[in-house]
Amino acid sequence: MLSPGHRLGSLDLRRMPRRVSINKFVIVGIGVAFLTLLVLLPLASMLQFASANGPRIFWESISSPEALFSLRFTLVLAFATTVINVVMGTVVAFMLVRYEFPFRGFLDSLVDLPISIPASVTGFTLLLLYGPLGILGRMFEGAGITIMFAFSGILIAHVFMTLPYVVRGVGPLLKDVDKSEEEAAKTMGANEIQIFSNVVLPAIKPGLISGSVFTFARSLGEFGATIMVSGNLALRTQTAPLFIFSEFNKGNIEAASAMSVVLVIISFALFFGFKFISRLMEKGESSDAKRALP
Amino acid sequence: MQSALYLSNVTKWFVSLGNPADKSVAVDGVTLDVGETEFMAMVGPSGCGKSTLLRLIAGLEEPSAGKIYVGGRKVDGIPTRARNIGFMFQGYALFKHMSVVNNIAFGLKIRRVPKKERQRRIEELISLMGLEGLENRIPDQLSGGQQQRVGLARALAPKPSLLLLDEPFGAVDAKVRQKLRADTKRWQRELKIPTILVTHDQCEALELGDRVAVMNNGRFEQIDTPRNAYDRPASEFVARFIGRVNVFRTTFDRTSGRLFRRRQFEIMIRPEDIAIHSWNNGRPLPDRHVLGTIVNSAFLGHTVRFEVRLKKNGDLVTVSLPKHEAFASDLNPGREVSLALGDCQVFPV
Repeated sequence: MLSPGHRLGSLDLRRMPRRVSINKFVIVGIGVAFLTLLVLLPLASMLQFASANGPRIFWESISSPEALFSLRFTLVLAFATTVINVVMGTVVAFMLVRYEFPFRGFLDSLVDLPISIPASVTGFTLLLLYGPLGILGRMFEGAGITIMFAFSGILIAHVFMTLPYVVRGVGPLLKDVDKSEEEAAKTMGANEIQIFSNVVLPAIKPGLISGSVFTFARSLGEFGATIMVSGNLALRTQTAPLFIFSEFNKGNIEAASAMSVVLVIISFALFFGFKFISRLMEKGESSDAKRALP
Repeated sequence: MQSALYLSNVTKWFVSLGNPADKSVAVDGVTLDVGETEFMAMVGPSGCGKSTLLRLIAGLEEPSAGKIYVGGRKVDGIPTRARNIGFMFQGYALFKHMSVVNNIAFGLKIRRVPKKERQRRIEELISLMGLEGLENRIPDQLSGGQQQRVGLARALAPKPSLLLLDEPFGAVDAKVRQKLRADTKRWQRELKIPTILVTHDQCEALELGDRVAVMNNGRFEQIDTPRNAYDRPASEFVARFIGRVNVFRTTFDRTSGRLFRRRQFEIMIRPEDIAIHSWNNGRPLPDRHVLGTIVNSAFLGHTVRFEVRLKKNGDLVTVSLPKHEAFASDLNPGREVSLALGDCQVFPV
C-alpha cells in the first residue's frame, strides 16, 4: 500500500492533500466572492437603505394604503396563479406524458416558450389579443368583461409566464409512475379517482410542491409582462414589484427598499420552507408509509 | 366440477397505429376451462400471448372476439374493478410509498370493509405469508422474496374469486424461488382458490400446475396433466418445450412399422428414456441397440448427463442417468457405449 510519504516517480504523494486543500480554498473563495457581489451585497445595501431612517419610517413606508394594496394584490395573484397552474399544469403534463396525438412534440416545446421569450413580449402579445383592439378583447368587452388593465388580465399573464414550472416538475415523475401499480389498484377495485389519489398523486407530489413554490415565487416577482397588461394603476392593478418601480421613479427610495425587503423575506421564507418540506419528505417517506391505514 | 373460469374462443389482436389494416394476433381463438379449486399453469415462450390472455381475463385488455366467464358470470364489458379478480404482476407492482400493511389493506379499504374485519384479514394474511415483523416496512426495504409474499397477500386480501399470477417468481434468486414455489402451492391448496399461473419456466409449470396449458403463437398446443404433457406431448412444440428431448429425423414410422418413402418423421426421445451401457469391442451388439462414444458428461446433482456421439452417423445424443447408476457403471468421456431407445414420440415433419 502507498503511504502519504511514498514517492511515485516524480509524484510526491505527501503534497497531494495540500494541493486538494488549495483547490478547495480557491474554488470556495471564488464562489463565495461571486455570491457576495451578486446576491449578498445588493441585499445588504437594500437593507441599509430600508432601515436608514429607522423602523418607524420603514413601517410607514410599507403600511401606506398603496403599499398594502400592492402587497395584498400580489399575494392573491400569486396564490390564484399557483392554484390554476397546479391544476392545469398537471393536466398538461398528463396530456404530454400519457397520450399519443398529432403535434404532441410541438405542444411540448410550446410549454417552455414562456421561459425563452422576453416577459415584455408576452405582455405585449396578450395586450394585442385581449386589449381593446384585440379580437378576444373586443368580444369580452361586448359581453361587459374587461380583461386588460384588470386582475383577470394580469392573472392570464402570470399563468402564462409560470406554466412551465408545474408541467416540468410533474412530467418526469409522471413518466416514472409504474403503470402496473395503477393496474394493480384497478384489480383491487379502485376507480380512476382513487387510483389518482392513492397511486399517482403520491408519486408526483414532490413535483407538485416544487412546481408550486417556483410558480408562486415567479408570480411574486413578475414585472415585464405585468407592466404591459396592468397599466400600473395604484390601488387598482399595481403589484408589489410595480410599486417598487413606481416609488423608485418618484425618488422614494425608502418605500421601494422597504417593499423589496418584504418581498425578499417572503421569497426566503418560501424557499426555506420548501427545502424544509423536501427534507421532511425524504426523511419521513418511510414514517409516512408506516402510518397505518387499517 | 363447476368452472371458475371459462374462455370461449377468445381472440385478441392489436392494430398498428399507423396502419389499421396491420393486425398482430396475440391470442388466437383460445378456449379454456378452469375448475373451482384448480391450479392451472400456463407456459410458453416469451411473446406467445400468455400474459395478454391473463390481462384479458382481468379486464385490463378487451378481447377482440370471444367470451369470458368468471364463476359462471359473463364478464365482457365489466370493468376490471368490478370483476373481483386478484392479480399479481410481474415485478409485483407494490405501492412504493405504502408500508406492507397499507399495501395489503388497500383493496379492503377501497371496498369499504369494516375496520375490525380489515384488521383481522390483514393479521391472517401476514401470519399465513410469514410477514410478521415487516408490517411497517416499505417495499424498498424488503427482499425479493418478501416483496413476492406481500404482492400475493395484497392480491388475496379482498378474497378474489380467481387469482392470476403473472411470472411471480421471475425477480428472485433460484434458492428463494424454490421455497416460494412450494409455499405458493401450499397456500393455494389451503385457500382453495382457483389460480392461473403464467410462466415461461416449464419446471415451474410442471411443479405447480394441476394441469398445464402449453401456449404457442397465441394458441394452446396442449392442456393436460403435467405428466401427460411431459410423457405424451400432443405436438412437436410441446415435446421440445417441456423438458429436454433428443430429435432424430427419419422416414420410418416406428409406431406402425411402415416405411414411408415420401414422408419424413421426427422421433423424439427424452434423455432419461435411453438406456446406456458400457460396451466392450468384440461383444455382439444386442438387437435395437446403437453404438456411440461419450464425448462429455455433466454432474447435475441428482442426475448425470452424458453427450454421446453415435458411431453410425455422428449425431449427438443426450442421455441422463440417476447419479447412483451413473457412478456404478464406468461411464466417462471417451468410453464406448451402447444405447437402447425406450419410449419415444413420433411426429410427421
